[in-house]
Amino acid sequence: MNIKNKLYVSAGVSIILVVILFSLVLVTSGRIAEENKKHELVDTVRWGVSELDIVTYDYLLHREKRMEQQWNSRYNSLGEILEKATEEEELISIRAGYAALGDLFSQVTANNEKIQKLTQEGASQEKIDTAIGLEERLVAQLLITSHSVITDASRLAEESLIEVTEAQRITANLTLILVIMLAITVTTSSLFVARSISKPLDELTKGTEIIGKGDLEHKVEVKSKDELGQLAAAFNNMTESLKQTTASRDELEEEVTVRKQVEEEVKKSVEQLKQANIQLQEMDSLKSVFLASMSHELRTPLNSIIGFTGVILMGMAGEVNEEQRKQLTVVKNSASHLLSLINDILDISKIEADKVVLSLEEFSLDSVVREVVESVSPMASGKGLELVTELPEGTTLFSDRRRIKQVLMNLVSNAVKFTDRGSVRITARVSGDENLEFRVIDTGVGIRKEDMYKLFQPFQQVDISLTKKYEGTGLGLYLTKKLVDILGRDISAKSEYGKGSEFTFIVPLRYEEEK
Amino acid sequence: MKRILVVEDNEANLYLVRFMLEKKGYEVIEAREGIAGVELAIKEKPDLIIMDIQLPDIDGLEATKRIRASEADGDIPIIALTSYAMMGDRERALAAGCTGYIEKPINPETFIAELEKCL
Repeated sequence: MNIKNKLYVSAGVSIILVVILFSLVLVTSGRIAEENKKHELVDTVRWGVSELDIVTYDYLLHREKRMEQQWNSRYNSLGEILEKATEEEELISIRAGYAALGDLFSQVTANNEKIQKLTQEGASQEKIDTAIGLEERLVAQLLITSHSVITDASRLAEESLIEVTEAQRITANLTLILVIMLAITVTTSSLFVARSISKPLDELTKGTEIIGKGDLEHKVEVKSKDELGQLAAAFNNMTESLKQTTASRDELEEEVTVRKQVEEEVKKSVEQLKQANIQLQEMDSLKSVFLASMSHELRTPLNSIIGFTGVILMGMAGEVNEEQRKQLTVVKNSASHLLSLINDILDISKIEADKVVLSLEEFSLDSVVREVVESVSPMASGKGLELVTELPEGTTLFSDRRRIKQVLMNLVSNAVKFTDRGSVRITARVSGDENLEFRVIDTGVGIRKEDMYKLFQPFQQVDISLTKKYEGTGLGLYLTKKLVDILGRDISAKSEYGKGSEFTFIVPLRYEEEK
Repeated sequence: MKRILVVEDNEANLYLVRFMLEKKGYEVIEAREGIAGVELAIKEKPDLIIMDIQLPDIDGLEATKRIRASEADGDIPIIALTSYAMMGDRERALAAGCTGYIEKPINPETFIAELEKCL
């Protein structure tokens, strides 16, 4: 039941009780009034009868006509009173007495007149005595009747007074009981309603405080099905949605925190990566430095080996037989090969460590190409190859002579090495105004298309099976490319497998420092 | 008999150079450190100096400079022993006052001929 209905019921019960009380008061007061009226009536009758009794005595004493008239007047007014109260059953005896009184009084008056008349007529004493005797009897009867009526009236008056008192008592008691009931009802219902309101309100207040302090798990315990129950349910729903909102807000905050952490970690990682990169670069540079110095240390004993082998082969240390010469030649060649490997590695490591020092000078193209041709011609002529040069006349270069020669030497010796018959052509032409374009063209074994990408990579002699046939460090073209990267503009190769290869590299005629 | 001073710290190389020179009939005096080489050069005034670039105390370039600074009359030919891989050694050697250079590894077939160009 909701509070409105509770209040309605409480008020209704009170109103009903008040109405009952009011009706009761009305009813009982009516009855009291009635009883009062009856009492008054009876009282009036009693007084009337008493007065009539007195007048009766007066008459009997004086026997005057005036008294008789007075008696009759009184009698008649009493009769009127009795006439009005026809309904009152209690008055029956009085009425009977009244009628008897009138009858007796008229007999008394009539007999009295008779006596007077007899006296006046002078009737016999006997008759007079008879009449007087009758009168005496009649008077006695009249007085007895009168007293009897008075007694009746007095009794009736007393009785009616008792009834009035009784009615008043009952009314008072009933009223008291009803007032008490009303008071109890009102108090009880008020208490009940107040309790049913205040308890949940307390709970709600407590809940609000608890939730206000941040405990969103709290539930308001209100089981009633009234408005407060609804309020509590709504309150709990509110708390729940608040909790969810808070939860999602917390999640969001957590996410933000996590993201911040991740960002921090990413920053840290980036920083670490930077550090690692710096370390790597340092290590890389260190590696190159290490390689450079190690190569130097390796070269020193090799130089001795090569030198002494040469001295012995020359016969400076005494006779050398054929077998010894053959074996010493192997030693010398192996040592030389090892040395060139080390030199290549050293060159590369220097280039990679950015420690190249160029020695720039003015020199003629002719002289460089001639030196290259001179050093490969023994091998070329040994294989029956034709060496052809096509050069522009009188061209000079300003660059690192030795490295230009090194590049050209690598390409030409490769060409000779991989060509069994035909020719190796070395051409150069000025392209534009500032570049010199070299070409080394052979009619050798050529390179497979799928192997072209390996050309300028370290330790990648294109066809592995060729390694034994054509000795080499496997670093030549890699180093050549590195050198061209420093000195020149570009190096490229094209080839048809089985028909020959063509290597092209371009260097500036005048090397610019900033290059 | 011409005297040649060899300043070289590597025993094997020193032995090789001395062997070849003595075979050709030169008198060889030797120093294993730069400062010792300079002192010997000033004191003995050899006909030719073979100077290794890498030496334990002062390098061959510095030694060459000191020798050149001490000379009152006439230049003693100084031939630097340069390393193939040490780019710039030749230029620096010539700048320091060397007369010529011979690249390592020494080729016995051409060594004496190149050396005699400077005598």
